[in-house]
Amino acid sequence: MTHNELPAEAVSWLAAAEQTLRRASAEQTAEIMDGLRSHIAEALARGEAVDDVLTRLGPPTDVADPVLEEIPRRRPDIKPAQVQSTAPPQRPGIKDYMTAKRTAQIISFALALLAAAIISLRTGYVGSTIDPDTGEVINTTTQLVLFSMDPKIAVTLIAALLLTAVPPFVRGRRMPLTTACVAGIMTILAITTTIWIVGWFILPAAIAAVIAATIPITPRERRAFRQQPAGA
Amino acid sequence: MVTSERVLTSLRRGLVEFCALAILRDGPTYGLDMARRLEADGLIAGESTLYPLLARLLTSGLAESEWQESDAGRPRKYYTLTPAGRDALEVFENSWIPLRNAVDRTLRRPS
Repeated sequence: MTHNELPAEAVSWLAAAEQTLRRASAEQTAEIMDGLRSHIAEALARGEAVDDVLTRLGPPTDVADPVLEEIPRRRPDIKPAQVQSTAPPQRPGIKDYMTAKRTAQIISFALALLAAAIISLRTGYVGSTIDPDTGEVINTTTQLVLFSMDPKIAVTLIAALLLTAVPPFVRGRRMPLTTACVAGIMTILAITTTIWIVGWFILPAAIAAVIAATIPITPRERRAFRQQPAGA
Repeated sequence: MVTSERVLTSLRRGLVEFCALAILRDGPTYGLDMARRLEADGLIAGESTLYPLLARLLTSGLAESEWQESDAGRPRKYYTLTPAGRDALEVFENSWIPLRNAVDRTLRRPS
């Protein structure tokens, strides 16, 4: 007996049961509905009255209760056979990655890069050519600061760039701690290098790093960290 | 107020799946047959509750299903126990019997 041959009361009962399975997966719903249709068809084929069959099945809402209770079901004491999935596991996309914390990390790096560009790519005075007879300046030579940068300033800028570049690439449980460490080091670096002026240029990057450190991780990230093995 | 229905519902939860596996241990069985046996033993109230349970056993890999033609020519879905289901049932039996005995002893203990 196919679904189309079932009496109207049975079809209504099945429709009501399917409605209650809205929260179940499509696969689970299909499996449950297949079983119920087959059950009803078999019972009717044995000569049972449709009312008796439906009474014994119980109210359609009974179908959903065990399903909703058990989604997802964890059974730590019994290991079920592992079903081989042919679909590759889904990698987290850019939408999952770009949280407020990540955005602040990237902004911190961008500000460090901007500071380095501002300092390096401006021109600095190198020297002048003076006419020996008249004493007038004939020519003034300038070049990019990049080529004649004070080593202290160069090291500071490189350190700022490297430090702020790390947190965006760190995933997992280490990310919050790494972000906090970078924020601390950047703050100390910016403050201590203000005497060489470069500290003021990297201060915005340090502030962004501190903001990144203070932004809490999202619930999704927290769940992902919990699912990772310890030490990951 | 604690009613017998509440107590039974609470007890059945967690036990019925293993009783279903025990029925499958005897050989491939179809849904109506299993439902009638479980209902006759008082292990399920409404027969429809068997099917979400079977769906879960299939998802967990403890049982598998197959459509077969019945004697009357109508397709019938048969459920069979997998090796994992057999192992799960053995684990349950090893846990249930001591638990059942402990509960019996506790209930019989004079206060």
